[in-house]
Amino acid sequence: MLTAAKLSYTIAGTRLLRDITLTVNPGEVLALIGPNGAGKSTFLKLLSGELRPTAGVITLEGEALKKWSKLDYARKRAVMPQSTVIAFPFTVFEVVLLGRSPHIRGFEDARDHAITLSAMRLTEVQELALRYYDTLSGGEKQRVQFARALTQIWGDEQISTRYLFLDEPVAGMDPAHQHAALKIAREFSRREVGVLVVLHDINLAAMYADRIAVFQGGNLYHYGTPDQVLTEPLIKEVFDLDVMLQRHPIRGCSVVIPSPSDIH
Amino acid sequence: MTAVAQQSTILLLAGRNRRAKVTLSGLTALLLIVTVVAVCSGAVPIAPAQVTAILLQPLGIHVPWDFEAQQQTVVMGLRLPRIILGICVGAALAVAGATLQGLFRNPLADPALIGVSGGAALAAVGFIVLGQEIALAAPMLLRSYLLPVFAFCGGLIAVLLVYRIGTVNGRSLILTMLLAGIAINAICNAMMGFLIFVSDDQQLRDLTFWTMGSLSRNTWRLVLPVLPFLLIPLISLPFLARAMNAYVLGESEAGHLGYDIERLKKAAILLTTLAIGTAVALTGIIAFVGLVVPHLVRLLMGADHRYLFPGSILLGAALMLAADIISRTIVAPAELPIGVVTSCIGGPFFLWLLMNKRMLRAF
Repeated sequence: MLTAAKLSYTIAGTRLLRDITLTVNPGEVLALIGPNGAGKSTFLKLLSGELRPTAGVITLEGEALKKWSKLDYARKRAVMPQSTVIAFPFTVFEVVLLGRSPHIRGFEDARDHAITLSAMRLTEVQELALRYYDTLSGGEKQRVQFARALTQIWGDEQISTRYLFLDEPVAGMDPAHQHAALKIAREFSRREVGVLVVLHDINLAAMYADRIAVFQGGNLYHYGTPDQVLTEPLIKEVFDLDVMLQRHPIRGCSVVIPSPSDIH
Repeated sequence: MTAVAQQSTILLLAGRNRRAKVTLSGLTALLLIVTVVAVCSGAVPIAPAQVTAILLQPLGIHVPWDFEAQQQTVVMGLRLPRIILGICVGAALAVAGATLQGLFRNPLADPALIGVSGGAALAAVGFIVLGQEIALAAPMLLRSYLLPVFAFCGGLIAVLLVYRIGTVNGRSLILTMLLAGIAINAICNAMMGFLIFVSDDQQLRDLTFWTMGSLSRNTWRLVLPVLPFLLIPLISLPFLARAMNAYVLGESEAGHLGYDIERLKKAAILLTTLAIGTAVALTGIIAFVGLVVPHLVRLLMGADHRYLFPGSILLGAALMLAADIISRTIVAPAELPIGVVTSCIGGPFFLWLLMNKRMLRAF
């Protein structure tokens, strides 16, 4: 269990996050939604250890995150950033293989290669294995980074619970790959992985998340199951967007239909 | 992907690794050949067999090839220290260049470009012109270390300044860093110009050596005491290879992979500055080796730092020796500053790099 208790983050006198209390549970997908600048990415950075909270405590498996070594935490938790630029001619395979870094010393072995290939197959970048990363399109790069994050927490007998942080993972992906990526994240969550995903598409959150946390202005505005959270008034209030809420004819989840009144 | 396709991917990857190993062996052979040529060529020609005999004699092994006493003096007293210096300086500059390029996440970073060499040279020149009192006050034993220490501090100040200016809120602004490096180089050059203006004739001759670079002013007595300062970074930097690979993804990404980024950056900056500062103290500014060599190695066997570092060490040493052979034979009996030779090779290569879209996609 990864728990944030009353987390605040202040930089240069501006409070970006205020008293956030939230838990990422292995076995479920937690989606963070909210307008731009609501503090979603900042929260993810605090949980990933990249930023230190100015107030509040993060605990991992009952112990303060500060007490975990970087390496031990890296063996349990992978982060997929919003975008990654690589200035040198690294191949896709080499980039995905870097996800194994916390698990190996010196040179990687056949098992690391096998995991890397499996992850690339999962995110459908195996055909790109020997291409240079910097020649890929935006969506392909995202899938490569997704595969890299997956290899980092692929599964290990010694390390049971793991965490996967995805910061707008589907940005730049085509619709089919957006759904494929979130399906993979959801499958991983069923294998003792706690998934924390920042999403802009409310419909994707409604379809794939077990819980949704709504951020607004640095506060945790609402938290619960998609059905508890997603209401027309809430979306109007938080996103300042007129919507109609419908049921998905097959899945049964909420479907948000934007209905701005002033299109001519 | 089918099992066959997966198999072929694995084979291709294995081929890549094998290629890297073959390339490393090839570079080792190249270095050996260049070393032999370097020992044999010069104003006094000496056959490889004679060199073997000369080298084996101190070990008590006598081989039936005759050599003259003068040849022995040339090999042991002049060429060997010069070759060892060339190997160490070339290797140190190349591996420092590779590290700086990784650290700045920019393939155009070069010790001379980002101001490290300039800072080191300015400190060395300042010491020569103004620091004689300090030198006389220091104990005899430490005197040969003073110049490298000054050069190291000068280089460190320059690199820290560039790094500080180019980092905003923990993010490295690459273009700003390069521009800051150019500005610092300009300032260092101006101040060196001033020092040259106020220096006397003897100092002046010392100073041209610093700005052009040369392996010529070195004897065992000068080389040996400071050699460890080149060997420490040469041996330690390759250990950063895996962390540098992760660092290529970005600072926070490398942190997410479990690496202590602050420690990595500090180690990389200190070790490269030590390498460059010492190299500058011994041989002056030798441009382009740190820029060109890592690029050639990447073209030969990819960007993985675990191959890039040893590859750069081997190729840097070989290239430096080759440049030195040219510098001391092309206008013999006179000698061209080696910086002129490396710049003649490196300048056009740099232009080619700028015109080559593939290499520049990073910008």
